[in-house]
Amino acid sequence: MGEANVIYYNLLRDKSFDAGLTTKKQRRQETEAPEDEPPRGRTPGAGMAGDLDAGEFQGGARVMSGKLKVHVNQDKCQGHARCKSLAPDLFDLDEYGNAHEIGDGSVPAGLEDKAYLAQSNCPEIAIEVTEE
Amino acid sequence: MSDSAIMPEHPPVLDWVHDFDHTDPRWTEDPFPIWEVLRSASPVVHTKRFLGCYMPTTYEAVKEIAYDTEHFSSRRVIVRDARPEITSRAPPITSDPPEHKPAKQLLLPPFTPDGMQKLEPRVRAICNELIDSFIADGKCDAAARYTKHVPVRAIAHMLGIPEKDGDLFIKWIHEILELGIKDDQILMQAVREMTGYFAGHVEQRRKQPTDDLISALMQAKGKDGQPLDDEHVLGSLRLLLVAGIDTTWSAIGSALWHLAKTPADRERLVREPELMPTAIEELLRAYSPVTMAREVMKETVISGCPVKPGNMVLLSFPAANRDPAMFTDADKVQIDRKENRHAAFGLGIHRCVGSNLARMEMTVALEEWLKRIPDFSLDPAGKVSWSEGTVRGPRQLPFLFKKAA
Repeated sequence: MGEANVIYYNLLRDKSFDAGLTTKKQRRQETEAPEDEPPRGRTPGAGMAGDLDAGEFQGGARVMSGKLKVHVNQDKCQGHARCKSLAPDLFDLDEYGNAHEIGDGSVPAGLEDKAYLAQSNCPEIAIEVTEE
Repeated sequence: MSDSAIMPEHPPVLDWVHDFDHTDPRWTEDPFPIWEVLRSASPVVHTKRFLGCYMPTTYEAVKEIAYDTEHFSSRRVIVRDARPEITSRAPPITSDPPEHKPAKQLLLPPFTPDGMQKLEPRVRAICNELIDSFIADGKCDAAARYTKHVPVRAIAHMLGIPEKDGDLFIKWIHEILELGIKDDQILMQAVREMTGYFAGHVEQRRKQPTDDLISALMQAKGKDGQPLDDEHVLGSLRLLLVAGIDTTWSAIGSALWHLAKTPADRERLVREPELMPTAIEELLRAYSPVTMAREVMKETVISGCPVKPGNMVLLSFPAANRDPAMFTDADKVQIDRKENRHAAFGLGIHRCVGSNLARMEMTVALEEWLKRIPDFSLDPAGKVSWSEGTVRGPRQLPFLFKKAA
């Protein structure tokens, strides 16, 4: 951890640190190409067969089921890291240990339980799970 | 304990609801039924002891206060007999907004789960070295020989101070968190000694910086772009040492104590090691070690109860975690409890900076213990004793187990 500290504190002294964070976030959004998102407004049950093998990594890009979305409210998150521990495929932590959803928060098929598990273990009630 | 000879005694509590005292020996021994009595009386109770102190008894009331930095200050984080002028601070735990956030952000990066992963092999080695030293005996005081040393050595390793100074750290912490509640002189002396100790280490690093948390703090810059002043650095170092030891010592000890007296849970964890993360959270909920404090700054209402300035607040996360309105079967330890929004590490902006460290230490300490000593029990010839006041955990933990072949 020593090395990581030094890197961090060097970053902290660097005024471009915040800019660096933003760039990283933008990069994350860019890699989640919009075409990965399934079409909205489907009738319930439609596309079920297609969803069965969704959630797997295909050629490095995650195929989303498009049914559930998770979102971490940044004003509420205090970095307990319970979500990352319970659902590492859905949540990640920043340099300070505060959580954010991975990508646009779409929950791959098969991970719905993990989404709700993370939500129900967040002490700050910072996680929203919404149905598309 | 021998301490009682030098500590002014409080009169025994006759009426818990109107005269509670978290240093009463009955509270120290078994606080759970007392909290039930208090909770069924009111969401907030008051005592005239400690120059006036409230205690929220429900999860909801604890949460309201933890989130309310307008009416409640963290400048005093221990409920004590005296309330002398504040002469030393320990940012960020004693900080309020707006000073709190920058002070906390300085400490957060080294304590992320990723940071802890790098420390984990060292902690695993520490646990096994400790077990090696007593496993052939077939018995041990696990509080003195095991649970104490894991956090001492881990935090010493992170800060970059000698692990062999551990007895000194334990002495200061006992004086600050336990004896200091009733004796101001002992508290101030311990703070002075710690400050002197860290000032020496800071001085060494001014000549020759090292790759550890002390040097990192010294190199860090505050919001104004200037290096932190010495008082800030020394205060944060005192905090990391005090907060990093007693707390996890207690959490590991309580967890082992539970497993020693609950064979079904112990056997299940040996059989299903993948249950460990869930079990750790439940043990943290049921036996939360840390009770914090706030000082009321402005009059307000908490869960319908008026709260007035001039009083302290005993912010009992352990009691919140036993609230049946929040947790089903709150008084039962269920190591597979699925939904668990426990507040063992606090709620709101003061969430424990070391929560990831504590979880890692607990996990590793229990895993390594159960691998080497899967079958153990309380020694009926010995006595389990508990620490008093701010941090609750076993300080004597006599165990029997099969001798290593």
